[in-house]
Amino acid sequence: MKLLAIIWNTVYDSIKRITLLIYLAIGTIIMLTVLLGLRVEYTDGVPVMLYIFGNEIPIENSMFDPSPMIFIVTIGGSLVGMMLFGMFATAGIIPSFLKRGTIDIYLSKPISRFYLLFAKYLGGVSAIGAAMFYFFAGMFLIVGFKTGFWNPSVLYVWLLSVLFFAIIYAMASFFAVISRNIGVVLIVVYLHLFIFSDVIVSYQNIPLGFLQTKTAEISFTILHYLLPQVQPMIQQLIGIFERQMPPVENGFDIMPFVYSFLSGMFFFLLGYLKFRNTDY
Amino acid sequence: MNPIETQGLTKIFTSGLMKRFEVRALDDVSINVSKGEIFGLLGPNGAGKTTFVRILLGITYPTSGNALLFGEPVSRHYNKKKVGFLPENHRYPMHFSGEGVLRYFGTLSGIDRSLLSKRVDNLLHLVNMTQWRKMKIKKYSKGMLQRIGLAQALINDPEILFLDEPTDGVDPVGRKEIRDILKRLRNEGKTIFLNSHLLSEVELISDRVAILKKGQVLKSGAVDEFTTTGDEYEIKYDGNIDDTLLNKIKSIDASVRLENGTLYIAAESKETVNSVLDTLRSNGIFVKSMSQRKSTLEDSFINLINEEQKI
Repeated sequence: MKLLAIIWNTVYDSIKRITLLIYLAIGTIIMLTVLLGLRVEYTDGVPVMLYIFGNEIPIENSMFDPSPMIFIVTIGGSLVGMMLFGMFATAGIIPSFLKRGTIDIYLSKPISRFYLLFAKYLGGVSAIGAAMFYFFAGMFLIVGFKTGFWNPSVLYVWLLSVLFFAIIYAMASFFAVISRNIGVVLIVVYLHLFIFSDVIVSYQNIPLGFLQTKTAEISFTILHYLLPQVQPMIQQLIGIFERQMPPVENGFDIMPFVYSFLSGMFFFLLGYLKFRNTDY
Repeated sequence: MNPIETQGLTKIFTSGLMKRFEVRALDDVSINVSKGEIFGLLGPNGAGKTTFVRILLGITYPTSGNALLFGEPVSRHYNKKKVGFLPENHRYPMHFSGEGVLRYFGTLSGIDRSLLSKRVDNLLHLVNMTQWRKMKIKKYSKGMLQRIGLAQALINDPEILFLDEPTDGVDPVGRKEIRDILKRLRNEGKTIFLNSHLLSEVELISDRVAILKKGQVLKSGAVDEFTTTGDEYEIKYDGNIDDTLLNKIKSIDASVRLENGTLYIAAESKETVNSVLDTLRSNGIFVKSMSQRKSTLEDSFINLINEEQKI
């Protein structure tokens, strides 16, 4: 009950933040645009023509399913948006919670420090999960109704996207506990998401001598497993649309999620240990 | 078993690279607070009052010494079910209404939903906030926030109540109401631990106090021990007391000073006081009033702090 109260309060607080509202508004506009701009023409029950914003695309193969293409563009964009807006909306949850005057009240209640931090963390993840569900489920329904192609992979992608966010947010939680500063959290997370994670997987292509050494190779291998594997996870997410369901049988590689999940747990645990031992 | 016990409590804060800088916030503090008493912890800013309370609530960890609540180490967080806390500068999520704050923290205190509604109603009535229960707290004044904060601290019907500057920002009427609430709680057998630098407030409601400076207890005891009646008398008069008359009074074995038209005499015997009055009257001075001077807690506090500084 206590855990649920904290999670619900955190979700409510996050949903009301302007950044998340912007994400929801953009999502709504995209959904409305797809709703208005997408149409499939049928002849004798067989799809023959796809209209996307006035462009005619003949459907030569009756098995042709346009939904992966639509999802890759819209959902893929939404993931990037969620990383930007979602992280912005939730990065302040733990630093605000750790402020004097707030943390004192929470710590004076009969709840362990682990549950307090975990509930705040789950609250942040739930807020983003709910916002993403609104968009993903909306797209699933709109594309299904408009084209007749019900592509359930979008719901799998939603689940994995929430896991993806949860992993990144665990890392953010660690930096939030040690810095208690929203700016530090955002800088570190964005650096990892948009720069460092790229460097880790493609350092060998960078024409710098010191990156071609054995030491660099060992260091980057360690970092690859220690930090959330952003690029491999995104590749797998996008691949789900292309390969269709069920993902694993079609070559879906779950290992980037497994390694990243362990990395997220590691960061959360480190954050908890710091939280447990800190004087407030 | 006392509800609050500390023995040799010491807290050293460290900072800087390699923890080179140390601040001794508490130094060997031993304080016991009995059930059903209001205990006031006084001290200048930075004396360690808030650190002391934070240690008792498990918010800050002691460097050494023991801190016990209900005879058990403060790390046993289940004991917090019986504790209420109003911190200084408390903050709540801004989307809450006053009622929402109580419901939320009541749930976190482990109160049953069936009981919570009734308790919220009662507490809002107690702190005189029923009228503004649905208003968002971001629209509350400081005084209203203090009232809601007090209600929040009482939501679990605690056996020990820790209050850090509870009347901060509250108007005189509100302060009186809060004092009355605290007295009522004491009569119900609650233990109240009060941190404040409003000494007159503390004097009015506390049973015992301790004065803390630089982490050390300078003095502790019943409030009466700090506000003992002295041998000094305050005389208000009509007429002119010149140097000749003043010297005449001084010759009667009395220490005398004249301040702002009031004569202060310090004498060990009643006879001396009578002699001074006789001398005044025989010199044409009309004595309007005379009262024995009682030092306030504030006087004692300032004297203690000043004495300590001289040492």
